[in-house]
Amino acid sequence: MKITKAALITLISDALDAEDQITGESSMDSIPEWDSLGHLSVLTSLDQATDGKASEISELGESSSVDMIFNILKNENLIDES
Amino acid sequence: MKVKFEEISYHFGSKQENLALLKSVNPDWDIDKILSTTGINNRYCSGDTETALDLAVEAGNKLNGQLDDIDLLIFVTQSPDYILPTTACIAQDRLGLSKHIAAFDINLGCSGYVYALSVVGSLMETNQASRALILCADTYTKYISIHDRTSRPLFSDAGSATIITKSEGNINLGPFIYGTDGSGADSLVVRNSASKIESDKTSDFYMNGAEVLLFTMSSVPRGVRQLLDKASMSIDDVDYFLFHQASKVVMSNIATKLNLDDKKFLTNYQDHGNTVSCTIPILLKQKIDAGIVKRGDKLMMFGFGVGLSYGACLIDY
Repeated sequence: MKITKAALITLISDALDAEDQITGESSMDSIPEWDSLGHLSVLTSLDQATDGKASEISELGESSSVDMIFNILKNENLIDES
Repeated sequence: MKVKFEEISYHFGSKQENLALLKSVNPDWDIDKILSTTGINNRYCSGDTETALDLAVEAGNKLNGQLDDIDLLIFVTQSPDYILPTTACIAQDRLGLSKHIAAFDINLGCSGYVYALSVVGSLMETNQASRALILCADTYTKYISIHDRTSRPLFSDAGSATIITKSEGNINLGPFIYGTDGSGADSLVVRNSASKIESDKTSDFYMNGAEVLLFTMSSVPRGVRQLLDKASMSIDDVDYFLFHQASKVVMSNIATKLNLDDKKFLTNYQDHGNTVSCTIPILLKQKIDAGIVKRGDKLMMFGFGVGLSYGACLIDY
């Protein structure tokens, strides 16, 4: 299952329960809720949204921003750009 | 493999440590967030002079003295008293076991109990053992800084003892599946803890939770399907799933991905934390005592973690 960038941003925002607005530039440095524990929530949500494909992508473990995640998923053909 | 689980016992570290205590030491920690992710409030830590060997011996001494005919001792630990000698050899003496037995360690963490079962089953099937004692024990909290928010709220110290005897009839152990990915060794490591010196690195326990979670989310569901295929069984044929009790986020994810029934997917991490290789035997013992797991039940055990490593098996309890 592919997801759009807008859906990705919503997914990350929901997973983190973030107070600040999440954008493409948001990162672990700029969002207080996006710490190591928050990143686990992001990963589990991503995995559910991609029918289990995200858990096969080890690079996601080191991803630290929305843009990084977007590019990793794009390289794996999991982004809907329509 | 025809074996029977005779008896299981366990013993926790002597010091309790809950989230309130951690909050008092780390005032900036968001305890509610930690609890919602880990699901763990209470844990056990070993005392300053209490080792994994001590915890295992205490567990062994709770086995109603049924140690006379043990002819195989396997000690699963990553917290040995010494690099040498082997912890199992010391345990043989401490428990007063016969000197005419095989005794050795298995250096694995959360997958270790399943690997020990595999070795026991294999040695029994080839008539090299008839009554085995598996000791599991670790004291990870000795390695983990009290300020490590990723790992300290997870791990507990404990020892367990399992007696397994060779059996006849329809009691089966197996099949097994195994998996290893050493490229993830850096994801869960205690550096400078043995021969390799890395003077630029800390000696504290380090876990990359995200990397370990990804390994678990990918390898466990795939391993479950592989094991069921190997046994020509469906997931509905399994009465209970006894998986390594890592944390809430891990357990919930596995259950969701495999669409497992809550009543079949047994847990106890909430009360004890992650006791490494002890989680599965402690869980089994508690669910037997609670009347949930009964003789004849088909069980699936699945251990996974440091290595990175996993192992799983099916058992007719």
